[in-house]
Amino acid sequence: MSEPILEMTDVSKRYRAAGGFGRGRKGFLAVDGVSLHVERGEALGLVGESGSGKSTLARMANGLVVPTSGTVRTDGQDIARLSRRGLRRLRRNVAMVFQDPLASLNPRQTVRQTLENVFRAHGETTSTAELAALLESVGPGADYLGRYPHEASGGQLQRVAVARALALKPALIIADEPTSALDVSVRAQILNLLADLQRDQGISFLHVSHDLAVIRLYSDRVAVMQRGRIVETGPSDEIFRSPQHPCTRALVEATPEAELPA
Amino acid sequence: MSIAEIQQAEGRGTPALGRFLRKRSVLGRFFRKRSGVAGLAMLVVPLVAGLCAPLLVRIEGQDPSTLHTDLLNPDGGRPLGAFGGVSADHWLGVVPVTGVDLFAQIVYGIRSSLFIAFGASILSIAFAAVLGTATGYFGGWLNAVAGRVIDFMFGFPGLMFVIAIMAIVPPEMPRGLVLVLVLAFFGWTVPARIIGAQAGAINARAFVEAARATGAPPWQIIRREMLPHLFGLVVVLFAMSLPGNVSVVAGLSFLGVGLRGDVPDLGKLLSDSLPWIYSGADVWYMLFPGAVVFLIVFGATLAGDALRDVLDVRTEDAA
Repeated sequence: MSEPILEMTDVSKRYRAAGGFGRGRKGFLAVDGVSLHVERGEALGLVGESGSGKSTLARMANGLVVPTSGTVRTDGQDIARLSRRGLRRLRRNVAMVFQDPLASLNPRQTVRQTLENVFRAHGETTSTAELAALLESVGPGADYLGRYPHEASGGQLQRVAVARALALKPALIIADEPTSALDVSVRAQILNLLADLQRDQGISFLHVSHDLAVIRLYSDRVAVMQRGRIVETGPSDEIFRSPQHPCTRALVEATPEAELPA
Repeated sequence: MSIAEIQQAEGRGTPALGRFLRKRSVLGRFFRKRSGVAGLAMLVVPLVAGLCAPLLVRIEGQDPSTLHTDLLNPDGGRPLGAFGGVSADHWLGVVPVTGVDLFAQIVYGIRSSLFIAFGASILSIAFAAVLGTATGYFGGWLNAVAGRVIDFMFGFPGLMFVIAIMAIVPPEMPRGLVLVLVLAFFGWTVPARIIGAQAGAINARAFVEAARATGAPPWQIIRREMLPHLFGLVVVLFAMSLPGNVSVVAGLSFLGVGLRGDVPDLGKLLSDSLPWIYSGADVWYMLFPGAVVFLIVFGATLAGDALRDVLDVRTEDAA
């Protein structure tokens, strides 16, 4: 079996308290000795309540957050050993979709400029036809190229953000709560889009969410985080059917669909 | 959809036209603000007069150095005639004792005062923009060091220092240039702190993190993501630093540590006119140059305020 796309071994992240001089100011341990892996083509769901460290953990996969200790191997490379250039090159293969598209897209750039900048970052140029095809592959028509973020709906914007992630044909996409800022009516559409990408293009996913129902439907495996640690991990259906850890049980019970008849 | 159709749709959709309208609307809103237009006029009229000084003086039929002693009262050197000797030949009268044409002195004086104020403002704001953006983007030790240097400069009696420096500048050095440099040296601190704070806030926004996640290099992030959001602030800070520098230049010349004696200068005119207003012998000598300094400073302040409101620097992108 080939090497996992993402492999984290015993990673921790401690945020130092501001102006942290003197003893007794140990800061805040956001991630505490976590190990996890994502196989190629797999979608791993990372669930946990707010502040459990799941976003911090996800950002270690592409070097946006540098772990205090432990090793992160992404796409076969030890992130700590990469140069700045190497890290930038790695980010070609590891894209990211953020929570709120209105915040993660520059309000002063048209969709076209946003997409062009992704190619520019790696010294590439693109044609209008390529950009149009990229955008159409995730939904919005080519006429969106000329729009500014405030001129499109949240759902269409998140599709633009997905197009940005897909631009460089990544092997892994980190989706950090990709639907929690969207209207309920468009959530399923975005999630289906991401699921299609996993199935049709073999892209791996690290899907962060606080919503276990979402994770269950769209992830092969689930890891449950609480206070910086992974407390339970396993195949989605199994976790959902027989949660072991009290934290997981609480999350399952908080999921409305659990009470619906099958 | 063909490429032609896409481009057509895009053209209709917004970019070229949309951005034009957007800029237009900033200007449009500025010109709808009466205080802004009035301020701009108060700034532009003396500015143009200064730029066209030789032409205007030639139209008047005078020059800034000829002595017209025939127009002075031989007893005390007071200009003859009403309003300090205003006449068709001398639009703003003549200077007491020497009889030099006051209009020519003032328009040439605007030249030197504004040249120095503009130079100092451009230099200090440019430096503040570069430093502020760098501290906002890189943060860390650079931010810490720059912050302490700015604190130090805050505690420094800048104006005293400027006066002291200007008093000991060797006569062979170009005083105008020295003034520009010295004023710029003390003018960058507050703008640098403001721009640095704003750049740091932008650096923390999600779209910058998103750009970083795509593997964009630092320069691209600064140039394409951050600078467009800082531009309005920089323009406003420039507009607001200008009146301060104009009045400091005038003040320094007033104290006798500004430009050299033979260079016409607004502050020097004010300084020279002081005894004449004390004695009440020639009020007009101070009134005309004083009004011009007031116009420039007041105009630049009004225009800067209006520009800040229009660009709405504090709440930009809120919509």
